[in-house]
Amino acid sequence: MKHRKYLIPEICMILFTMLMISPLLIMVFGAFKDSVGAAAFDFTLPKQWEFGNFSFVIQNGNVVRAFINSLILTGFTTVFGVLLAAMAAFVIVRKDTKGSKGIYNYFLIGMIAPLQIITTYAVLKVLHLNGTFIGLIMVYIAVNLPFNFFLFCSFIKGIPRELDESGFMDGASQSCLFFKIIFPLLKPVTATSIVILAMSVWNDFQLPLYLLNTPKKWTLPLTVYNFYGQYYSKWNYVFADCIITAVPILIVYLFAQKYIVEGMTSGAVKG
Amino acid sequence: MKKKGNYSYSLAVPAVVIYTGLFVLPMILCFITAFTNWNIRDLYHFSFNGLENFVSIFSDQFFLLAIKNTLIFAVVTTVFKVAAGLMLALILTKPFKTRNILRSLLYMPAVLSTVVIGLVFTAFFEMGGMWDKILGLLGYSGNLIWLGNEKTALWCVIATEIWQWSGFTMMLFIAGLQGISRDYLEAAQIDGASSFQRFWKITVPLLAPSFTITIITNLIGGLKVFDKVYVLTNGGPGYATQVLGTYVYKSFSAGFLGKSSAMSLVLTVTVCIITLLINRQLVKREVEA
Amino acid sequence: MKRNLWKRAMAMSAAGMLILGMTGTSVAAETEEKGGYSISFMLAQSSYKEDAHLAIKEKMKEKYDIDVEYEVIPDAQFTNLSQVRISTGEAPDIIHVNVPGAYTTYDAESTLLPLDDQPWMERLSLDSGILKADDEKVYSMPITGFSGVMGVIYNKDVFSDLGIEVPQTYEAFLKALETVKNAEKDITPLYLSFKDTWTSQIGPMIYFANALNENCDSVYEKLNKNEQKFSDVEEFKQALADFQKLFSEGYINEDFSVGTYDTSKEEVANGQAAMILSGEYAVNDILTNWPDANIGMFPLPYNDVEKIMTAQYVYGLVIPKDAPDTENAKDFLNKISQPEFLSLYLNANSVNSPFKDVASDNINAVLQEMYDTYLNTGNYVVQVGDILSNFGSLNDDIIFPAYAQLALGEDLDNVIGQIDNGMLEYGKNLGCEGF
Repeated sequence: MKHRKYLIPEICMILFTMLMISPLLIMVFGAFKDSVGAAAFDFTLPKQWEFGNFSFVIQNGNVVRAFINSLILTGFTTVFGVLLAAMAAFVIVRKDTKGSKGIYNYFLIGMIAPLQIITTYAVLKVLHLNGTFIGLIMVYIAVNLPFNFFLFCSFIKGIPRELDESGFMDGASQSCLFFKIIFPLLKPVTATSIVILAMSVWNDFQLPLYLLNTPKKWTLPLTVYNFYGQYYSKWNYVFADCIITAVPILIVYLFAQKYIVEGMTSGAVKG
Repeated sequence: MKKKGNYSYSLAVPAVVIYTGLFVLPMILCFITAFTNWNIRDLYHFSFNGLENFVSIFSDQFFLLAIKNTLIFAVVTTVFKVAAGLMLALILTKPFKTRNILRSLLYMPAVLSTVVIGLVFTAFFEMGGMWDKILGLLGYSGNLIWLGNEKTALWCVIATEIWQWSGFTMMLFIAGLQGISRDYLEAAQIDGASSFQRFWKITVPLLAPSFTITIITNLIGGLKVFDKVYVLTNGGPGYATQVLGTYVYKSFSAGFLGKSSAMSLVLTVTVCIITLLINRQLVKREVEA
Repeated sequence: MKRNLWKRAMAMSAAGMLILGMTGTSVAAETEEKGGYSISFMLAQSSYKEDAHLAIKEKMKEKYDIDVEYEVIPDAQFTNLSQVRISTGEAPDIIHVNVPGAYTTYDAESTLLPLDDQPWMERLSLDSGILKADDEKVYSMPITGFSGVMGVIYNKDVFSDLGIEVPQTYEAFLKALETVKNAEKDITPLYLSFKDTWTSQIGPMIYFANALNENCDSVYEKLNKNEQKFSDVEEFKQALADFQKLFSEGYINEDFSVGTYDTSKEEVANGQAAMILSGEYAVNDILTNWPDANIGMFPLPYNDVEKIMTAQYVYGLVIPKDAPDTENAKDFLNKISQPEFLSLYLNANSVNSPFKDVASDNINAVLQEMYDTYLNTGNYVVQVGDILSNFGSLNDDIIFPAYAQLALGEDLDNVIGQIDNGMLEYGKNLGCEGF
């Protein structure tokens, strides 16, 4: 009975959501049309489903290499970024001294101030890391540390100290304590952190644009943009390229949705 | 025994080192190079030129335009994203059956790469594209080139941003709403408060933390915007949609490293000041609530 | 023993002859048989002629087992990207550039390999002066001869349908535009493609060059050395004003700021536009992609000057000093300059050849007429862009946006001020003479 009351609003919301998502349909349908059809930018279904568009893009759009590059970048950044953030958060939360408070605020700067890409470029060059994946990965980790750090901090605050103490009494070292006992307990927030970080790195356009200057090392978003530059009148190919780029992350999204929501609930709001 | 002091900093060292070396250090360097004539032709030698860079950029009509555009972009997108996010959150916390699916769909644009979104919307705003067709249904038959017209281009970019990220703000508000105990609302209902009153006197104040975070996050993001503008208009037509992020990049890629450091410094200072000011205002309200 | 000696002698002379034979052939074939390496070849989007370049790549692989990897960079980023790559030591083997503009852009004396001693120098059919940098050394191998012609490309059918004759005075040109504008059919009089920013300079440059006419060289010289600013040259302001009028009179397509170079070619080929402003490269593209298109070309008669605008540049290939393998790169240059390879490129571009023994057979009628009537007879004016390209990315960063603003109706003094200030800044930055 109560639910009846919501039927109409619900239908309205469904229609509204469909409307909101509709621009993406231009891309989805367009990817399967020929270039003339795709350039019409409408909602009509393709007369013929041109799967050939995708193979063209894969051959000519540098997709395979870019995909691998994106994977490398995202993979390493995520693994190490999350790990480092968790480790640091653990120490800072537990230590509770002026020093650790200082470090807490130190990371706060990173949440606000934008990354100075130009001088970062120079620092990398001095370290002979410019244009390398390692350099870029380290930059991504550095930039995303604050956010992940705070995410872990709020969560760790909820883990009782008694666990630590019993660990120490058993003779465990701090590292041992962290990796064997605490870290496994951090599963939910680790999952959230991984998902958010991965999405952010996979989709990033600005840093690779500034810091990777060989097309060989380019990531998917850059190759899509470049592909557009070369084939801009052939929207069917461009849309196909977009879909190829978007699908992996959408799959991750489908499986990881609940972690994102949980992350927002626990960590971010208290941020 | 109190074991409080037994923790060492060792586990935190890697994080602090990388953060310092690749974020803080560049930031400090930027503060320095902003006052030099550093140039791409000679990466290892530069000399100080005092305030010359700053004089130059502040007398550049296009830099000032970029500042203006950045502020407009940040404020407008924040206002609309927060408003839209709130409304969507309010609606999607009602007991709809399809609630979760709808939430996922509305958040989805935030998951896609800016480049993909940028290209889709380039198509969307093309002459004769989706946007024109929608307007056509509403009876409008004008002939504007949305992304090519200096008056409308920035608004198209703003619209795209709102479209893409409202879902994210919605999720933050949903989390906030879920944290409001039903007891308060039920008690107020029993006391005879109308839903309007319940909303303004109970929900909104208790949502203060959510407001803080959504406003701050969106403002910071808006001030730092780069990707979206770059893909949709690249600062054009002419200079009409230049924002600080793209203008810095333009100067950087032309090799004027000292000058673009100065611009970057201006951006950083702006973001910090605005963030601290707004944050202070909003946090005050949180305490009151 | 005698028999042994004899045998030995035979064996040794046989061996000797064998060795001599082998060395002999290998010396002769050295230039032919060196191969089996890979070359990274960087070029801008608009310089990439897919068919020709891929044909060259295939042939190189087939004949010499050389792998050519093309790095095609979007036009707007090309200058910056290639500069960064060179200055950070990550240069490719070969870069396709405009010569001599590239010499300043890349600071040739410091970053490029001098090529004076290369075998193809003797086969040049053009004056090598254009290839020399300030230090009198040659830093690039040309792959085209002088071929730049820029003017109005028009659709002959549209003209004849509307009874328009090729205008020889500026008034006639404006009348032609007016006629098309008022025609019943919806045809764009002049289609401009400012989204591809490099095309925005063609109009203003033609107007300026024509306005200066005989004085081009001396004025450009003064501008180049900062002895004069653009705001000191009256003809520039007049030229810009008249160009701006084309927009306010409604002769230009409304969506010019998002119009693309590709679309402009398509429209004039199909008769949806009567005219476009472009050069020899566009003529070739149109005739390749729309073989039935009935197009022609004429010089824009601004200031009633009947000369075609040309550019004192050729396309050339340069080798950065930091290239991965300079020996291979030099060898590659020599190979690509041979008739069997270079003709593939020349024929796809309908341009003059820079070498005596390489013929360019495929110059179409439209361009041949331009070459015969104007270029080869000395009936041309030179574009100011040649000297502007000395200032690195000034074109991309300052000039093109300035022209875009002009088209949008911006105040002329403001536009000229932008150009002057930009030139001053970039000139100082690059340490150009006089700045």
